[in-house]
Amino acid sequence: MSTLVSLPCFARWALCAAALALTFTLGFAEDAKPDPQQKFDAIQARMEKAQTDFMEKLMAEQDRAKQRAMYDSRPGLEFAAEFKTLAVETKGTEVAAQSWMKVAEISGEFDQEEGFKSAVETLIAEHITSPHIAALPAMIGGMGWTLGDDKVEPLLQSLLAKSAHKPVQAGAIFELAQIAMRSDKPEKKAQTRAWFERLSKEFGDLKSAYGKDYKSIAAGFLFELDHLQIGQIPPDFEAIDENGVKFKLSDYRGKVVVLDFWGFW
Amino acid sequence: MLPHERSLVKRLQSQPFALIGINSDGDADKVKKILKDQDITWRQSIEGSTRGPWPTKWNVKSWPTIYVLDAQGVIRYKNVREKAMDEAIDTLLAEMKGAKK
Repeated sequence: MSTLVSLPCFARWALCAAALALTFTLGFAEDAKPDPQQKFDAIQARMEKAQTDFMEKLMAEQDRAKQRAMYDSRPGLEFAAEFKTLAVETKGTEVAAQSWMKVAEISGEFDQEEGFKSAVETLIAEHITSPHIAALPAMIGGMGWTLGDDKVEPLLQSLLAKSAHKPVQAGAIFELAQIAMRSDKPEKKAQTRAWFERLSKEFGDLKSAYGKDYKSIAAGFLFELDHLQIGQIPPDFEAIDENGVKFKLSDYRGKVVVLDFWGFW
Repeated sequence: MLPHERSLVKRLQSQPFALIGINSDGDADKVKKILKDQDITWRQSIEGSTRGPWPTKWNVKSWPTIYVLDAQGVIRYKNVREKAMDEAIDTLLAEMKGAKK
């Protein structure tokens, strides 16, 4: 400060002007450069546009074989690459969390096992407290159908062990419970009840993303486990037919019965 | 599904067999119209929607979901379709004949 005061008047003025100019330049630079959230939104908007345009073209194509080929080169992976770049640039921020979620989602849709796994592992390691990972358990569980349950189970276990966020924990337990239920290994299937009971006991009042509380969700699965497995006799059920006539499942004892839950839609 | 079920019901009309549709399309009037248009002769339970009482109680998560029960009411097969459904039913009908002997 003392040097500044001791400078001649014009020199002080010049310094102030330079400082002012610098502030403006920096200010402008910041304005001109989109912030990370805007970047994320922009990629998202371009991806949605590309997908809408693609769907229109796909619908217009009459030839099935050509349609198939078009579908195989559908837009998506190029945007996963962009999201990944953004995630790396913004490491540790909420934008990075959202970006890694997109990388996981797109990689999953395109059956890219490595891309999916590394995105999920990064989310668990760096974004375990982010609100943006709420949909992660269901996303991982859903990938079990394509990658195989044995591949996604460790990811769910790790998510469950590390998250302190109730909706994420409940979601992970729900997916692990369903994996146990559909397993053909008896020792794994035997864990189904414990998973659903834990879901009901610890998270019963919590609502899933579909709006139903976990207590009634668990009750539905436990009914299925207890009464609707091969070799079991389901409890009687009363229904009303298309003519308004009541009938019971037990009316059909003595016959081979096919129950077809269906809709013409 | 429907063409197979139509021929199945026709083929087994004199057998101890029943196909029951548990329908989630809407009210009875709506379903009756579908039954008429699609030449569906077998009985339906009118559930109103996918959240009707039977699919809810039985935790149905995807449609169609199929259960095949034997004459004692035991669940013997799940989600068998077309040829696999035919084989399942024929096996159970043969079991019944065997038991009568």
